[in-house]
Amino acid sequence: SASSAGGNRCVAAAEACTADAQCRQLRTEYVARCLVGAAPGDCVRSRCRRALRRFFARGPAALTHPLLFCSCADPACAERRRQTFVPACAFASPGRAPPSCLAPLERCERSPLCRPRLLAFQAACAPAPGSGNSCPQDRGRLCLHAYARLVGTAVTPNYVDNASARVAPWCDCGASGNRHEECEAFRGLFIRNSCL
Amino acid sequence: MEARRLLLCVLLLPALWQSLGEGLDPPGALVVEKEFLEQTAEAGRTWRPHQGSYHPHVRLRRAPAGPCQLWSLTLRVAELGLGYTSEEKVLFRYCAGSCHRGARTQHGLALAWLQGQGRAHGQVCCRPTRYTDVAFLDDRHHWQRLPQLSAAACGCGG
Repeated sequence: SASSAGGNRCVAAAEACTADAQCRQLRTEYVARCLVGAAPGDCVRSRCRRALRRFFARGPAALTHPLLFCSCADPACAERRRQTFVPACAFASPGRAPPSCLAPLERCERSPLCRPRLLAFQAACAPAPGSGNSCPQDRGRLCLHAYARLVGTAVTPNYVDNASARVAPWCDCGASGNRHEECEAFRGLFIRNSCL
Repeated sequence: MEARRLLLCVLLLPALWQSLGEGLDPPGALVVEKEFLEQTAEAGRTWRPHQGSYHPHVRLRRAPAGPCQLWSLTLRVAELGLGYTSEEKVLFRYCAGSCHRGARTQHGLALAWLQGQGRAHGQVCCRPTRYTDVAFLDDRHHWQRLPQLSAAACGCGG
């Protein structure tokens, strides 16, 4: 039968993962962990995030990364991409306002798991010195890899909407007081990053 | 589902006594509609409809050749017949095959013996001994998880 994916690369990525035994099992596991509970906000976030880290760590990158980084031309595809890692559990708390970015940042700096990953992300996705804002040629893949390692940590980033490819952690800089610049700088790592 | 399984086992009963121990199709094997494809006896082979000749009502022989084993189907979610829709395809595994070699559990062994003596109904059947979950994102972009939907291992039991 004709491919049901059509032009939707995110569906194609899902099917490629399903076709591989290891990827299929890891994906089913994180969905199971992240869907626990009657309402979307009832899940145990730590368990969900741990299963997500396991998915990206143990799953073959050639199959797990396309699930996260599939390119989209329409909102349906982008919405699927946004829902990839069950964000209602792992990313946002439905019904609650996003916290200041300083909160997850501080939690991450104190976490022996998160801190090295954040530093690696900053290093891998930094623009080339002196080149303005452009991304160094060999960095693209490394940056994406470092980004994938942030999924499931305190600073888990996700696509912010289904109309663009912008990503950010679940936070904003409205209530950052006199540390507003610091907050914006952190958020800028994601939003204004040419390597992503 | 249970009735269908029982029917299948009862239909296989004449084959058990007439054949020489091989998994042959009995003369009365249920072939419901015109077949497009023959199943092979390769263990665990994924069966896909041939490109271009896909017919939504293609039916397999009810009595597959070969011993009890795990089979795989790659299906669109809607084809599961459970009312879900999704763009994704999922893997559905099931158990089918003959149980001439008999059961592996105490229950199955005793049952086969009693059935042989005519003191118990039915027949030792090929069935799943373990299941796994299946998960997918549906058409409305909600995650769905179907626990224990797909077979993970097969055995001959009661």
